[in-house]
Amino acid sequence: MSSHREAPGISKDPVADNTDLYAFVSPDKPDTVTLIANYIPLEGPAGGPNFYEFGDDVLYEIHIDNNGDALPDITYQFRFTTQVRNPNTFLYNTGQIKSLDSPQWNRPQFYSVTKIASGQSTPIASGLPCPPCNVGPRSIPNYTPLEHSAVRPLPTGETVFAGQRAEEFYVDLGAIFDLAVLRPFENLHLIPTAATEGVNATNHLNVHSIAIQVPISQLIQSSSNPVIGVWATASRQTATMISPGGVLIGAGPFVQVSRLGNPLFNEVIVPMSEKDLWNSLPPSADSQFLDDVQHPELATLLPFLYPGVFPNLAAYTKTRADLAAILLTGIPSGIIPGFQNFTGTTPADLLRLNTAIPPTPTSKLSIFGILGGDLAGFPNGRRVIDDTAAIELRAVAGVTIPLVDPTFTPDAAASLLTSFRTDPPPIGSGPGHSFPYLGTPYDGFDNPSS
Amino acid sequence: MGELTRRTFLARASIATAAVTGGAAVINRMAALAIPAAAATPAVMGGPSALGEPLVAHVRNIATGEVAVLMGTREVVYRDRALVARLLGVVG
Repeated sequence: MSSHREAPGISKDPVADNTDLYAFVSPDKPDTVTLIANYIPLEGPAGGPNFYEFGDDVLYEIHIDNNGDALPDITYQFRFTTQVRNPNTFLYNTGQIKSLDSPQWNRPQFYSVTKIASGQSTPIASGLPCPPCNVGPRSIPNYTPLEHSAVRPLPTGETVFAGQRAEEFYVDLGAIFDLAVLRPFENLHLIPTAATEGVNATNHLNVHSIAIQVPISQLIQSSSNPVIGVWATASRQTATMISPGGVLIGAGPFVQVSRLGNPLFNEVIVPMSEKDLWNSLPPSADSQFLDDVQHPELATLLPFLYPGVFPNLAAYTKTRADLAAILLTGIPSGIIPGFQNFTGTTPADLLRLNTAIPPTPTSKLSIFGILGGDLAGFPNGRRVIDDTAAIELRAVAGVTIPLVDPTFTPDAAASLLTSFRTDPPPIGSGPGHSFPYLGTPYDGFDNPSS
Repeated sequence: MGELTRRTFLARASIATAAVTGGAAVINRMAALAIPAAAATPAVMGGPSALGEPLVAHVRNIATGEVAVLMGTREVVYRDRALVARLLGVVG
């Protein structure tokens, strides 16, 4: 998946597991950028009575580099606090939840936002409410006002939201991890069966999102340098002790346990033995993973698993400068007409967004982003609708090699790779059209077996 | 016992445990290393109690006596082979 359960260590700690990161110029407010960091993978909507929530003991952060050194120039920190209103019941809610301050909601969660910039740490807001998990229609007869009232403007110009949302990342997990099967191409696989339509394995699941909408003027250093690099992290204190009674006590500095920039980087590029290490490192240390990007394992697997389908890719032995540009430095100007998101030569896994590229009108959107001629889509940042799995699969299969090596001709199949025949694929409840842009979370009553 | 009361109790108990198993020695040594002697005892000894935070001493390397002392979000690393030897004696 994008970064769900992508490393052995963090797969055992879902509350801190950063699953997806989005960064895009807000389509309805194009003078702002929306940043969304998702955590807690594969939430079944019916997962009660202790429904999903952020970790009170986790430090969640979204970092922005605006000068190309792969170091954070701006960091937003989010810390959560859970209240228990009635300790004498096992219920998440003791009646209907009709407002965020409902006394019937037994376990509300609140959060604070701190901004770090220019070496200064500034608390911006505290006591901001999360909406409840979407339990079901009897507990929450109308979820809409709850999610709307959880969108909060900050005194410094940003808008924030934190809470449960529908999982909008789509991928055919059951197929892709079964020896890289793409169901529409099953007939071409080393172990062939009849081709079928892909299945969105994340459909009807939820996730927990931290979203912040920031004026572009606050993110970039100047209009002459409109590119930002974004990554998200989760950190835990060095020591956690379990005291008698099951009370967790933390001590020591926060240590990073999860990181996410480009989707699938740690999952597909980094080898098993280095995945936990990668999660602990800052992007500025990513030069040690340059060889993994330049010689991706998946590029050698595809010709083997799909015999005769990728002869040109199989014969290509040069380092993958195209992937290094897309994932580690950004794409310099002069390669794609009218576009660049280059941040410099420092190799770092950052989600790079050229904030000067306006949002694409709905009628011209392509879920294949730049590969589909849509310069406002991945890998120029990442929008909710972008089919990042297909884009990266096509890139690894060789579609982007001609950007840096005109002598290479991609195999015909490379530009067709996808898990889904339909366009757009089945995406949960469908992304929202305004902040926080992710759909209403699925409720447990109506989605009991997800 | 209410949640808040239990937490408070456990936090204080944790501090006491750390002191019994060598935490007091760590605190005194930290004070000697980090701040003037005249101010060391009241400033450091009063800190944990006032904050209600646990103090954890992690022996990183028995051979070198490297100890990491964690409190709140702070970490101080120093070497104290004698302390490590005493801690080893406690656990047999």
